[in-house]
Amino acid sequence: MTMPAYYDFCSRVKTISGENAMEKIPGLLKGLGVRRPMIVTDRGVEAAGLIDTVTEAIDGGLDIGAIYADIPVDSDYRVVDDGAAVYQNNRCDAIIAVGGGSVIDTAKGINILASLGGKSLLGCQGAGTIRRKLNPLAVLPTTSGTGSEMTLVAVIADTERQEKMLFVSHFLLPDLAVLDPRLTRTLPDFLTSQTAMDALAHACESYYCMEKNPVSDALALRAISLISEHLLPAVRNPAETSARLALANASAMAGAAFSNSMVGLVHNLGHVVGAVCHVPHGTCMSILLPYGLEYNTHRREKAIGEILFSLAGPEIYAKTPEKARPDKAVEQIRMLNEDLHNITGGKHPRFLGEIRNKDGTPAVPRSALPEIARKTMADGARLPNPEEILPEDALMVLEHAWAGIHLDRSRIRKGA
Amino acid sequence: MNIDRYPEIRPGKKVFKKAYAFVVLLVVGRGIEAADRVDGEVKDIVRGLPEGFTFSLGVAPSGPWMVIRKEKSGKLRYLGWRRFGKTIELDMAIRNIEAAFRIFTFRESTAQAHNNGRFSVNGNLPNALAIMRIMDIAEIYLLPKIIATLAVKRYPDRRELPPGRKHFNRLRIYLRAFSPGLFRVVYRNL
Amino acid sequence: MQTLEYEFIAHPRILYGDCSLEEIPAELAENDACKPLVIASREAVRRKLGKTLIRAFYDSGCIIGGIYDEVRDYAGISLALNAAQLFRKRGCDAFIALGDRAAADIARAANILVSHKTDTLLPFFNGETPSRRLMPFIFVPTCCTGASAAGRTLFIDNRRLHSDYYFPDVVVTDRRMSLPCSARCAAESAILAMDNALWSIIDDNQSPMKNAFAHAALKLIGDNLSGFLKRPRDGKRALPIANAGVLASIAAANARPGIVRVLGEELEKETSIPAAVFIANLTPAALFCIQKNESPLPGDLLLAAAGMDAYAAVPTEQLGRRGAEAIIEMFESAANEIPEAAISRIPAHLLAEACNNAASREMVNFGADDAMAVLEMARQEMPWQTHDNGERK
Ligand SMILES: [Fe+2]
Repeated sequence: MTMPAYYDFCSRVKTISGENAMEKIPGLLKGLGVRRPMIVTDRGVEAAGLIDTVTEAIDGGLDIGAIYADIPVDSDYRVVDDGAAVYQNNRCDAIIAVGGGSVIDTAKGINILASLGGKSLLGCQGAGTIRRKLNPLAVLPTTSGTGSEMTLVAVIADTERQEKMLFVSHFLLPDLAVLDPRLTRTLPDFLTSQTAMDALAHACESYYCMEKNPVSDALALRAISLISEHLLPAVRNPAETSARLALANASAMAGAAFSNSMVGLVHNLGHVVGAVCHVPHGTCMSILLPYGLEYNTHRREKAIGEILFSLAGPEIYAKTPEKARPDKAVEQIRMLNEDLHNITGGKHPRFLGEIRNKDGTPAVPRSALPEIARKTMADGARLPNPEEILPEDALMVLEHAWAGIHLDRSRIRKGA
Repeated sequence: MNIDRYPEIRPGKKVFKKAYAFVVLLVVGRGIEAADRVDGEVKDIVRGLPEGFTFSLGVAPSGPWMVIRKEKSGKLRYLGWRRFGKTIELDMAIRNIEAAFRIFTFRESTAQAHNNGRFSVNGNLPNALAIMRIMDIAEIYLLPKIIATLAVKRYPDRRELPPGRKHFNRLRIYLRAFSPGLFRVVYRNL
Repeated sequence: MQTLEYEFIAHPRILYGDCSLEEIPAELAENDACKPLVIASREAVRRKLGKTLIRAFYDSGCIIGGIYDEVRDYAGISLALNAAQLFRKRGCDAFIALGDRAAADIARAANILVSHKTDTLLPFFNGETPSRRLMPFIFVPTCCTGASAAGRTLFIDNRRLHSDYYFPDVVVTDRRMSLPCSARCAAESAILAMDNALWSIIDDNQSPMKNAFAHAALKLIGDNLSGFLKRPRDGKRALPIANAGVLASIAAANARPGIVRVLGEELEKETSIPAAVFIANLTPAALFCIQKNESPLPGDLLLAAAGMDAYAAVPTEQLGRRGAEAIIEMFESAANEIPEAAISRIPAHLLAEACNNAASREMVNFGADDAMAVLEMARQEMPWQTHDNGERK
């Protein structure tokens, strides 16, 4: 490995993993001086009975100040303001977030407002607003994918201005990430598969993007092996506790890796497809991941070849000649998608043209691709990708991903 | 304990590096203004920016800076190096003078520098990305190929940017950037 | 199948490489601080590293509250009290430790004193945990750091305190600061870093995060060690090794202390010979003891030390042994630069005492007899070689 001339890495989240991880929360939070945490979650998580599981596990150790479950799917800053008011009215001193990416982001937003004081998150914008430790935040992810429990960003929508407020600070890293298989027990198979593919995309992208470094590399490779080993068993049999715990670990490690090394083409295109066509993030990731590898192979041949080691194991890695390893890695991911497609009864899509809305119409019409390609210029994930991505490049990749065919490498612009 | 044995220290200034950064920022600023009048892609990007949009690029915390605004005419205008009295919507600052010097001497590509977190960006992200793309294009025109390849991620090949167009546009940009307008703006800033 | 029951934390932000020193003022600003107190070792200041640090603050708007350069190799509470007094008088708001382990420990201790507005560490020795809101603490290791200075242990007046709050907030590895001062120092730091990484991987807590840090460290050492030992002050090799030291100490902070390290430290106390000398000598023996007890060594060792291609070429049942061989080779090459430990010449009662002290240390999972067995093994002609199938030189 060539050492980068410069890198920085920060992942100061205390991680607790295990089948009884939740029982350790009271002790650890008390160590942070917490007495009255507020639980932040959404109705889906609550309906699945997970809040009961959580309160049972931390019962007696802590005095729960409030349970705030009113986080809608499309959370925005008003939800944050509302949550912070509940926090303050109940004199809480910490947050336990139970949920997926949107709950975790909202909880981070609430924590900013509740810790810094003020009436609205709108008043907390701008660089340099968050300059001290916030109140303790524990995150209990209920999906194994977003990795938000390890990231230092919070994205909160401002629906009136149709903008996204982006908060980035090391103080937004949660104090505690709790990986407990009981939290992902109720996740349906096709969501397990898609969120895990999101985590896989984080790990792979952090391994080939421009900020790659020795620490994120080691984390990413471990995350990839855990996913390739445990994803199929976990999807086939949700009762497989150890497999689900492994996926939760993989997701957290991939989160730590990409929070430091960032993500590239896959997320660049994926974010925009998601926003324009309202396709879930994990779906986009599953479909686009092979193209990220293909598009960047000429710049990162060695690294992408090394992904094969974790993805397929040492035997296949040794058998594959060095030149063929990147393509073999791509093939492995395509095979994984195919397997997941079959196991979930077709709910795990393989190409963009295949995704359907609830009413059966195509979610990503081919005619939407040019608009998507144009909008990729406004997404931050284009910066860390090793190869430049201009709208024409994005459109070229999208057309391939729409039809589900291998990327025609001769069409990649490699520059002079 | 005699605390006077451990005196307080007021660190000094790196005058030469700041002067160098000042000149580079001046050229980049004028170059961007000129590129907006010459290159089609830059024109397209600028069209998407709100009117009156003002951004600054510089070195934190004590400068130098450059400020550019989108005028009523829809064109970018380099306003000089003073930030005082201007409402800046997008503030892109290199975190320290040493990093700025590395970037401006092309030892670290702009793309890599962004990824290394050398810039702190305060403002709306899509606009910041638009400006970064404009800077890339300006660099391709302003710098000889051998240096520009160090600065940008992908130096366009002859299919992406035909040499004839490149050289013609480069000439126009140089003429505009160093036209009498340069003296006017320098004079106004003094 | 690994079990995924663990706790893990890697608190420090790692800044590595070109221009990382100049990041410090911005880093302070993010923590709402602008007037650090620098706690430096005499040696670092003598080598003019203090000046280099000041230059990194040029044009930053920060004022340096003072450079307290009284730290030699022993960390005692009186130094911490003086540093705390200086900190208060100057109205500082952050700590920068520049130097070795002792400088970092004085900064840790002084940080507790000022953050808790107290003049004694006694309550903390009696089990009180420090508060969450300590002052920002940036550590710039120079050389001879003992390879655990980036961890979560405060070692002062020969007592050890452990807490996540003792981690530095930022560790800076910069070419201008972190190159070794001599060939000897280079070998010792490499040995200590390898030891940290090795025993973090062998540890019974199999946290994949901890293993990732240890793995990264071992890989950096494996890639750079031979070049580094030839030219210790060539930044291309030395800086990755220094970085490996930081990563390994973070991994080690999440694992039990390894038998060799603890034994080496106790022997150092008895004989005043540096621990690294013993560690280099005892590691092969300790690995052999593990194999003899038929507890398999993790294949990860080979993967980290020799890389994917070497790993993939070895049959599964040999992974542990070949990994140990690769590691031992690394230790031996570093050991060439330092004197022989000559355990046979150390009086038996000192050895026994060191074993007993080692076994009674906090958090260790071995007994005095295990330690003795390692010493016995090390005294014999290197037994490992009898196990060799001739591939090793
Ligand atoms: Fe993602």
